[in-house]
Amino acid sequence: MGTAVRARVCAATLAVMTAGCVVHETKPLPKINALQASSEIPGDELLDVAVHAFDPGVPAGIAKNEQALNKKRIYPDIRQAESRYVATLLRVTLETSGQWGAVRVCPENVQFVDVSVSGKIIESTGAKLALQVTVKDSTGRVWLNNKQYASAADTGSYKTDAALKARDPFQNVYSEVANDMLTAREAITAQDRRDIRRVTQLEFAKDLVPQAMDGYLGRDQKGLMKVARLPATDDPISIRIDRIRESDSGVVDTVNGYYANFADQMSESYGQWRRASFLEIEKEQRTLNQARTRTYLGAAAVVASVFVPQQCGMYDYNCRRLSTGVRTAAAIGGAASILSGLKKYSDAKTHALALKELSESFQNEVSAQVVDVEGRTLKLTGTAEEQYREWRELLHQMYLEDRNPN
Amino acid sequence: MSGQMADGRRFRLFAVTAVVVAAGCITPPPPVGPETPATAATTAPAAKSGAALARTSDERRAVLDKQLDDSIGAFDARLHKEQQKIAEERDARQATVAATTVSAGNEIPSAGTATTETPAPTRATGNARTGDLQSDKATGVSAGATGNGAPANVVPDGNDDDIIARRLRKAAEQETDPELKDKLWKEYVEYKKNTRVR
Repeated sequence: MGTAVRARVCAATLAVMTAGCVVHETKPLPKINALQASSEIPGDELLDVAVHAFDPGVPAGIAKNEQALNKKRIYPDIRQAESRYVATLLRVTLETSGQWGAVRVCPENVQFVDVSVSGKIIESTGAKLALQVTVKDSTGRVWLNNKQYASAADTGSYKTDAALKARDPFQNVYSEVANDMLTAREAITAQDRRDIRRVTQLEFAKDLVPQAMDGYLGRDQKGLMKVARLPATDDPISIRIDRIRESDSGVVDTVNGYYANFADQMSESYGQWRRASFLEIEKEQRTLNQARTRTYLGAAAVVASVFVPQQCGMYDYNCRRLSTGVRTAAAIGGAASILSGLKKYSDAKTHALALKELSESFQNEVSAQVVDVEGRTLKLTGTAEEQYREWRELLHQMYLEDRNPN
Repeated sequence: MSGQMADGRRFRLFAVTAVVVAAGCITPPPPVGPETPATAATTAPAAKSGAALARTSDERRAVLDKQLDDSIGAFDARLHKEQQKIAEERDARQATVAATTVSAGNEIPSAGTATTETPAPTRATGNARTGDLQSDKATGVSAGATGNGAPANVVPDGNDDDIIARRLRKAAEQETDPELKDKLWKEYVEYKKNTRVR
């Protein structure tokens, strides 16, 4: 009698017990920081970095399918905002490490930078951030090629508003990218770093005055851009190009200022949304786990009550009474557990709906800010492009004048 | 007699022709061959009449230089205005945040820490090059000033701050949580001490 009845009693007890809580403990993550510069880097080796706004990572196939987007917890307008926000946080991490020169967030069309960082958001919720990052320098050398970084949220950041302000929940991701960039840079010789800067300057110059700068750049055996020869330091065209380059830096600085203000403006609301998103996702996950557990155990208890064979002898009435009682209890416990599981599934759906409403509310707030920052950026870069056309023409005339003074 | 008359008529004809040419009624044909600064100046949309009328190469070069200088100067002025606007927006937002936290009972960061000054140029030497437009330098704020919440008499001035020190200082000045503010100032002082030792 013993084994079968004991099995049924266990199943019944478990089914009853799973009506209680299954607590999922999240431990704080170890903090990863970007390696700080310990000594001054020579000016001609200090590389400037452009961090482009990330690809929002909204799959084209489901971009119009709200249900599919909700299922994947993708909110397109929030992703648009995040594409700039993520770039800004990476910029801040790189800048404060002291390892780089000027680090700015720019749109994709900004070229002629020593080091260019681009990427894509793979997943972004309050609970998890996953990015894919590519880093190249101006010679064409690839430092990081579609490398993936991911991290769960550091729950310590969500504890208070001050904690959220002091450290981003996904700072570990940005620190890892910064440290990997540093590792790649350290693998490049000092001479090559100086060449990267010269190549950037010559590429800029060539774009402005192609005829004057012809022959200064070439390709090495690996296909990387290299300096073939340098213009004279007192070359009049070079002096004028340097002046224009200062203006160009001013444009990039201004655009970076737009993005910095944008990130600053959205950071508080975004932090609240992420915290709420994290809590809702956690609750949803917890209730789903409970639902599954209760349902599985409930089903197991019901199955056990039906299929475990009667072990009592035909005339052992006490045994049969006990066995029947246990089987009934198991069946009831199992059914109750299944019903409880179904309710939990329904609760999980409620949490998912709550998150959806929260996200829609935040989307409305942030989408206007995205439109504003992009509008200002396009206006400025459009104006700059027109200006460059005029300067190209003037430089071309000067070049001809210098070549044919008579 | 007729030979002399023929000579006389030829001379008068020549004289009349010379006068007509000198008056500019007959213009020389345009030069054929590679583009020259003179033709480029007359055909390019950006050319102004100055370059076309300048006679010597130096004059033409000077005109083009002036056009380029004026154009760059005007563009830089527009950029400067835009950057000022960005700084004003940021300062206005920080002032709003500060006002909100004052009403919640916290101390106000000094107004001197949120200026609208022009950002530093991007091509300063060494590690001190800036990467953004944040108005990092706090003008007129010295050690012991109470407005920014810095501990009295221990905070070095920020004139020789590198990028990291500037960031720490700014974060400390802008922080509204007193505990975090204190920690940030301590971090800043420690960092400055260590960089001086190096």
